[in-house]
Amino acid sequence: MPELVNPIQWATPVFILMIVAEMLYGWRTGRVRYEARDTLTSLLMGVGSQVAGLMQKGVVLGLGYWVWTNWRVLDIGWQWWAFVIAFIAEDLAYYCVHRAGHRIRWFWAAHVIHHSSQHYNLSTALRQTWTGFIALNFAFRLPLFVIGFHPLMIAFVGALNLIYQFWIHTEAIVRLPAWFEAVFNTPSHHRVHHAVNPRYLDSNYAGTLIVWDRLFGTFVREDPAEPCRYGIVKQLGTFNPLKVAFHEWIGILRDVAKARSWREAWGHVWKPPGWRPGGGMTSDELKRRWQARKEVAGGDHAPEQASSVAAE
Amino acid sequence: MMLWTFFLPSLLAVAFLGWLALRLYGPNRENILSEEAARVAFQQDFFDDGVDAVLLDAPRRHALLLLDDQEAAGLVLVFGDKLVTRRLGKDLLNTIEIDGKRWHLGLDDLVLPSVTLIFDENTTGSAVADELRGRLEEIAAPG
Ligand SMILES: [Zn+2]
Ligand SMILES: [Zn+2]
Repeated sequence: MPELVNPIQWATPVFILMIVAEMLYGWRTGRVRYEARDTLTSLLMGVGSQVAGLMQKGVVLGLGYWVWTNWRVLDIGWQWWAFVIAFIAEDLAYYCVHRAGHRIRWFWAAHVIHHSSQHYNLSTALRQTWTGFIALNFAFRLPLFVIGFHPLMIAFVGALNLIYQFWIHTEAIVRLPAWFEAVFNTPSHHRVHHAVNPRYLDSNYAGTLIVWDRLFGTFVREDPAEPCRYGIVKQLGTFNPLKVAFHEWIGILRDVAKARSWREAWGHVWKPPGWRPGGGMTSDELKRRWQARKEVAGGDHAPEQASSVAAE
Repeated sequence: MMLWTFFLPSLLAVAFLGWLALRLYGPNRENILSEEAARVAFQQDFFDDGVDAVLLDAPRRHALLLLDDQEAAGLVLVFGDKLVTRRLGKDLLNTIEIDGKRWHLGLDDLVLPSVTLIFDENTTGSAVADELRGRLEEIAAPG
């Protein structure tokens, strides 16, 4: 078994330098915006996420070893091509956990953190969850250990996948060559993923390979005529990292406590975010209403498009 | 050990980047709201609602919106260099306390639990303010 480094540890100084470069670029050109408190919150969420990761690492790896030792079907070694296949397989698992993270409130409670900034810059990439372990996100990787990929190999390629996703959180890059946009997740594709415009909701769940979205019907192309508005449907009114980290979990607890039946309680946990007994405002409902309104208006775009910047 | 190898350098980097963002992009405390910006922001998020009138508070950091739906009102506020919107219906607006020119709204919302608007005298005496006040009191009333 080769000695594998933790790629995120090595990448962190590069992340910091790239953020500095993007800040300076945005300051000079006006094409990227930062806001100090928003940036601080994103970065603190990133540090917290790393701390949470260190605390849970032993348990997750231990479980992975246990599954791999007792249940694996194949004996996959440490050849170079095994890393390539592991990367692709882990990327598919990421697509699945990410899609669940948007479609099931339980997983959304952990993932919402990453989407909770109205800004889209490299610091947003570091706004990561503290509670992925509570949500049991690691369960989506268990099939990889059953196939026979070593847990350390999956941890390694998973870290590479996360590193890949850092640079795509930018408005500085408009579009890349067509062949690249066809295969890989890019700033353009991921801007759409972070957008709250109804036409962009619930799309582009890819980690590294956008082909999963094309394959499973969740791909939406960025439309230059409709600039992305970032964040979540109900934008946060706080920069408090603790509230950012836990607000949706507390929301679930409160809703479950108020539920009038087991069925209702289950709905609050397992149905899409925004669900309420009798309907609510899920992303599907929002999109349905937006589509209906668009048809009445007879146009392709929302009736009003304006900058989200507050100042006149 | 962990403190020195990971936590402290990370926090120093966070502090440096926060400071740099502040230097380059400013504190954003000067942002103000216009009636038009409030209306557009609200209707982007709540496109099914018609907006009849907009009431800006004196510092122009908050706006209340009179909607064509009698059972709700709109709220828009400046948040950093962005805006946050809420549709104040019975499920969201818990309380309203009015103390002269000061309106304090209590919301059932963990990430925006309360909002205080301070109006000038001309605004609080207007017909739109009267109507909004009545509507908000009705929404917040128990039952
Ligand atoms: Zn996401
Ligand atoms: Zn992202």
